[in-house]
Amino acid sequence: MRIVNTQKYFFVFLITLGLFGVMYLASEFFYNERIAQVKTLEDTISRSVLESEIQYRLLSDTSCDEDASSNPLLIEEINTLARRLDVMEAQRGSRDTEVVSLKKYYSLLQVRDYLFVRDRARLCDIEPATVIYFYSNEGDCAECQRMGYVLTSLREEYDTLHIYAFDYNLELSVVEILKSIYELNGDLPVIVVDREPYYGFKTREEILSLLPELAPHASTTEEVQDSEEE
Amino acid sequence: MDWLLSLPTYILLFATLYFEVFLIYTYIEDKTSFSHKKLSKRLPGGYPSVTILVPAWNEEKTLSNTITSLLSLEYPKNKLSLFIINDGSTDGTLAVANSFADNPQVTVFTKENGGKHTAMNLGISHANSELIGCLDADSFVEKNALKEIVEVFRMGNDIMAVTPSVQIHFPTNWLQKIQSIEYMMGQFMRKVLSRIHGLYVTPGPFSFYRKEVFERIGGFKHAYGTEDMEMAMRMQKNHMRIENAHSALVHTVSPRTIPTLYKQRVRWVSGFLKNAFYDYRHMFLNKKYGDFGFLVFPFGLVSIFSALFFSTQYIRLIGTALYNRYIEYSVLGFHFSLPSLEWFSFNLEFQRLIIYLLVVVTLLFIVIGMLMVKRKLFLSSGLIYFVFLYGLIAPFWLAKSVYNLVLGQNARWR
Repeated sequence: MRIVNTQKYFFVFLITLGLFGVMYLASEFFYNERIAQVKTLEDTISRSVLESEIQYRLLSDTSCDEDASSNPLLIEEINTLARRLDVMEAQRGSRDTEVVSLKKYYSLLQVRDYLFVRDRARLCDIEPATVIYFYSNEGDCAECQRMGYVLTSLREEYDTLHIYAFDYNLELSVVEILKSIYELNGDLPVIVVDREPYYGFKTREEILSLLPELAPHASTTEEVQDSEEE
Repeated sequence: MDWLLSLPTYILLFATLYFEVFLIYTYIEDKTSFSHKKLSKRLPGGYPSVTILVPAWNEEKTLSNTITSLLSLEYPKNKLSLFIINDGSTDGTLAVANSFADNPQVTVFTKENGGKHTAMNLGISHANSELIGCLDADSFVEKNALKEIVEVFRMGNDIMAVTPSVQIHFPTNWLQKIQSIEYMMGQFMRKVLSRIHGLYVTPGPFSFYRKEVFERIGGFKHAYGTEDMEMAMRMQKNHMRIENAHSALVHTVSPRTIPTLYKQRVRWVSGFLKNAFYDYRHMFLNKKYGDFGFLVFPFGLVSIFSALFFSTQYIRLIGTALYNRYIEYSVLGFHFSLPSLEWFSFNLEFQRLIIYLLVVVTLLFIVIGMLMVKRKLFLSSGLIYFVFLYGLIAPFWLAKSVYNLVLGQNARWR
């Protein structure tokens, strides 16, 4: 007959419970840190948009003298924000309330920037290269992942290209209005260029062909290649 | 990740962490048992007589080295006998064995093939020594190994069996290096389990028994191809004490390819499951059998399923990452890019932190095992292979073993 040291079992149980507790607190700490970082980024972007709007109103048409086609937002920050929201969504799930809240705020910032760019373009008589992209992370959009890679690569390559990405299922009134304005039928992925929706996956080349505003950049590249060949 | 949010995952994580904490607690409680004591030149009280059985079936390539290593043991020749038992080999095993027949320490037996357990039992029936040990014909021993084993037997008359420290013989390829790290960790586990009377296997390479063990509980059984496991379980059932001599080093030839490793592990895990489920299930959570029944046995079972579960998830994660890369390259063409090392991209969710903690504790086990075996710390490529690759190959034999259990299929020895 052997003896089971119940005191030891209980003590080990307490230690294990304690370790679980510490890990839980650590994960909460990291989570809150991440939320704080994302919020800081969103604040920075929000301030940047506001600054641009005020600057635009103050200077009126004189602001057209500057490079009006360039993105008024901090492109690096917005890319980082998009990436971080993706990470958080992948880790916490698309239904996490904090993630949903951050995504909604991010979507509002995008719409605000979109309106600003549109108004500025009208006033300055320019045609900014703009793509509105609707996706879904609910598992009902097989091509959204591929589309995401294409758009991310374009955004990183062309700093005059404005890409606004919206979760089709976000349940945000502003997104719903955009969906009705462009009369989207629910097929995903879909991009909207010049108010025209294009359904299904599109390659880089197909998207670039829809955006003649970016052509100078492309022709410049071709010219460089031609001159190198010569 | 939905799979991480489920209750069974939490339970498995808690159970695994609980077991690891229990092992560390036991280690801290009895730390001195894990150190190396200087062996006295001459054993006080004399040397017990010993018979070492070497069952051999088609082992012509390794048998000679095995016998030579046994004849080189630092032990009085008149106290040590070697029984080489040819179990119906179809190659030159018998000829190799007979080449040692002139040595007065060596006796060669030959019989029709009947399985390792029958060869062992034949040897036991002819042995008259106080201690009876065995050595697989693909293993080699250090010169002091037997003295180390006997030294442990001398610690108490109630010690009925002593197991050695089995390590991999000259690991060369990545798979053998993984096994080398695994065996070092296994040494730590064996020692800890011996502290709580929880050893559930007396390995084929160089485990020793008092002769009275076989007189009291009988010889080896087929036991689904894991006769050494069944013997240990039967001893635990009969409250016989099994100890571990971590200074007694034995080197065994390990599988070089995934298919041979797979076969070996299916046999081991299937054997454990079948012995546990079919023959010794009454010991589960039975206080009568102490920590063996209450902790080691149940957790041995849980660990198979938890390892299967977590390995499957690991494969899924790796598979998803590779698939994402494939999608990216198929869309944008191949381009070299390093994964992001930004802290934000690391998964620091609660369940994942627990998994990281479990990995750290496992690494600690390896470090202690390394110190016990090699007596020093060193960086080995096997460690990297072990951490990143072991989880990718283990689920295959775990799954097959569970499948065998459910369908009642037998694993093949070779």
